[in-house]
Amino acid sequence: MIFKLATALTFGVFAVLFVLLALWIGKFLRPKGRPFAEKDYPYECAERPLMPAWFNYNPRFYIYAIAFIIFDIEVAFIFPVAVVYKKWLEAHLGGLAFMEIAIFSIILFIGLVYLWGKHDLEWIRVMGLWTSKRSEVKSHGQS
Amino acid sequence: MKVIFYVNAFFSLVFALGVLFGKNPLRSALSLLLFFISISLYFFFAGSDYLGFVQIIVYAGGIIVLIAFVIIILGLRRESPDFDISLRSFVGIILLALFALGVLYGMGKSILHFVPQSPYFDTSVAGIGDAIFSRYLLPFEVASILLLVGVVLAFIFAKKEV
Amino acid sequence: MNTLVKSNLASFSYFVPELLVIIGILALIILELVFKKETKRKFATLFTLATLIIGFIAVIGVGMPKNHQFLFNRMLVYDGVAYYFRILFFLSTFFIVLLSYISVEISEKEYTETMILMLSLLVMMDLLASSFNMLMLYLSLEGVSLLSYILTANKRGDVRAAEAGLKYTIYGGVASGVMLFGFSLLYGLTGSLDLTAIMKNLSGQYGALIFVAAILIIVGFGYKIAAVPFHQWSPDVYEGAPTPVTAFLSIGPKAAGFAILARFFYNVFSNGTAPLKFFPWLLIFWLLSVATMLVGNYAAINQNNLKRLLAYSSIAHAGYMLMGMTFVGHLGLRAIFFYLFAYFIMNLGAFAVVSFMVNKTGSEEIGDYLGLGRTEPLVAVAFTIFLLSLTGIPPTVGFIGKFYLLIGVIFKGGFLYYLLAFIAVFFTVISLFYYARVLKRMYLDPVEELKEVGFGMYEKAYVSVLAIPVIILGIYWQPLMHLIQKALESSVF
Repeated sequence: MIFKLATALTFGVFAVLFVLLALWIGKFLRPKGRPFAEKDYPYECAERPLMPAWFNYNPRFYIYAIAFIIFDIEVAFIFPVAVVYKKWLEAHLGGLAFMEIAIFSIILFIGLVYLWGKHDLEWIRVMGLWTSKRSEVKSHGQS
Repeated sequence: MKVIFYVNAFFSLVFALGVLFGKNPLRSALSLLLFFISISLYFFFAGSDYLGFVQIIVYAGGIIVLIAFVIIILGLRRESPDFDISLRSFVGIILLALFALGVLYGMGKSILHFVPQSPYFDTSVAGIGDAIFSRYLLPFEVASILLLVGVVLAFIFAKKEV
Repeated sequence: MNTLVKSNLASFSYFVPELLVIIGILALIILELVFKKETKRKFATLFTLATLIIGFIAVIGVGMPKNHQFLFNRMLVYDGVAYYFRILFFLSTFFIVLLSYISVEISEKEYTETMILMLSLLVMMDLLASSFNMLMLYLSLEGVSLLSYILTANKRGDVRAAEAGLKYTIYGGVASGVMLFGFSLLYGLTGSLDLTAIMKNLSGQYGALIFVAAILIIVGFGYKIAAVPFHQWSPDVYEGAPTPVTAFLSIGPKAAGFAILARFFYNVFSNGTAPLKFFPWLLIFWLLSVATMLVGNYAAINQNNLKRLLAYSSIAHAGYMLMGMTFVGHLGLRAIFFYLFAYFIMNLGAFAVVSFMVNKTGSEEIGDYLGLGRTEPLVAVAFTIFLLSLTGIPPTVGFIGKFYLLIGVIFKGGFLYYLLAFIAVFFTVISLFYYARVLKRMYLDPVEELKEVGFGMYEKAYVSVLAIPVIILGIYWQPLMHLIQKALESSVF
């Protein structure tokens, strides 16, 4: 029991270290200098807060969110399968098990292809009223 | 084991309160994330490893991302929590506390002595993996089709211009 | 573990039709990205029809089994009834696709998606009608529901469709949640998801709890077949959805709902010949049937929108069919299954005419059918046949269907059954009133100036193909009945 806990603890420590390491390396890569206006926004590289909360916003985000949830659930399904895969290999049923999991993944992958093909994974798509504001933001970001 | 359980219980309480009292919506969301993770530990304690993992993957992973994105999209504002402890809310708090005590008492009486293991099914991760490969293969594959339909659904609804 | 795997592999030979359709769906999703805009509609339709025809050949090829087969470790059962419903679903999808092809309500943009969704719905209905495990049952039921919601709401720029989709989704979510609670009670009581195992483990000791579970489960099924009091969604959804989709919802998911209702209750709450002692079978279904007939027929009387009228009439027909569920026995089952087929032809025909009218005139009001008897005699005659068949007037298939339902109830004997038969006949007479209103509008009302509608060959051929079997099966129905009898013999009921 204790040993298992120790393993888990070590794993956790390394996970945290890994994040810190990645951030530290980033320090050498990112541009230096005075932060510009966008830096003050909570999320400089995403949708900018333009107005109070009551407004019609781009539903595009939901496609991302829902697609993400769906593939998240795929992970939840595949995960237990991965745990027993070795056992199935030893029982000489590995090919079959692989087929089963492959079918599952391919079916979901087709969903991804569909979204991609529909040009639905491009973040900025000009939509009606937003046109002017979006271009404003864009030019502002470039300047 | 017991010590870890109670430490975890304490932390989940702290995180839950953090969701309520966080001045920054995003900070509340992050508290919620930590809260979910601490909740998942309960599942591990109860012997349902798989549910614990699903809790982390789906709730801590998926749902929190949803919430965080919504907060970003709606624009962040610093919220000042307006808690005025009026008589009414005071009564509410007392009632809630009584209810919680009642629930705890009932649980202590009956459930705590009961090991919540399903008598019908192996609920460990490996058991569920085996079940997916053998007995429940068809529902597993059908679920993938349902998820695929979900992708198409999301696309159609988000594209809709009414 | 090896036996489980072997069972899975052995099952595939019975599962070929669904597999083919699934492959068709996946291919169509990819092809949708490749199709050119101008030719999309034609190619998507052709591809869908080809998938359906190949699938149908596979259905016939797999054929009716001599004995029932459990597939995928008792997740599904393949028996005569499953075979029968496969035929029914493939045929209805085929006709609905043909109807969608010329519908103006489904625009180019969402056409391919509609095809994909309809094929997926077909697969889910097949799975639902042959489920033998509560997990599989719930999964496929939820699949059917989800697909129905999307099909309903998938009408761009239409507020009514959006409203209908939202109502449908919320109502369906609640209903399936309630049903899931019923399932969980049954699972808790018996420790099994398999229908037969549940039946064996049920004991009269928990009679009250089992009763509660049954009621909760009926909520879910009743919502699928639009039985009163779980019908409130159906008029709005039928009105808001594109007409081909409405037609599909009224013949496809409804038939699947009846199939699984019968399968579930026959296998869980009866031993095949009589209901379990502690389960008030007669009471539940008697009340359900009478309430459904009452509300459906009563509300249909004052409708001026034809789609709404057909929605209420569809509720009323669910009531008639529920008569066959008031007792346990093949007499009731064969009547229901026969009626489902009859309902498929006649209701599809009626909706087809409504859809064609929407295409040409953009109106669903009864008032706009004025003078149709003179401008479009063929279509009007076909529409008359469908409506008379829906009423149950000989020599149409609707009459035979009602006849079998009544026969079953009367053979059973007993005051409640006689009363039920009387009520059904009474409501049939009432239903004549509102169907006849449409006929009167088409033939008898004075016309000041005739407006050409201009149906082409496609429409005329379509309604003829459906009207002729209504008459033929009304005179020579024995082969269909024989098929159903044979299907029932090899089934787990």
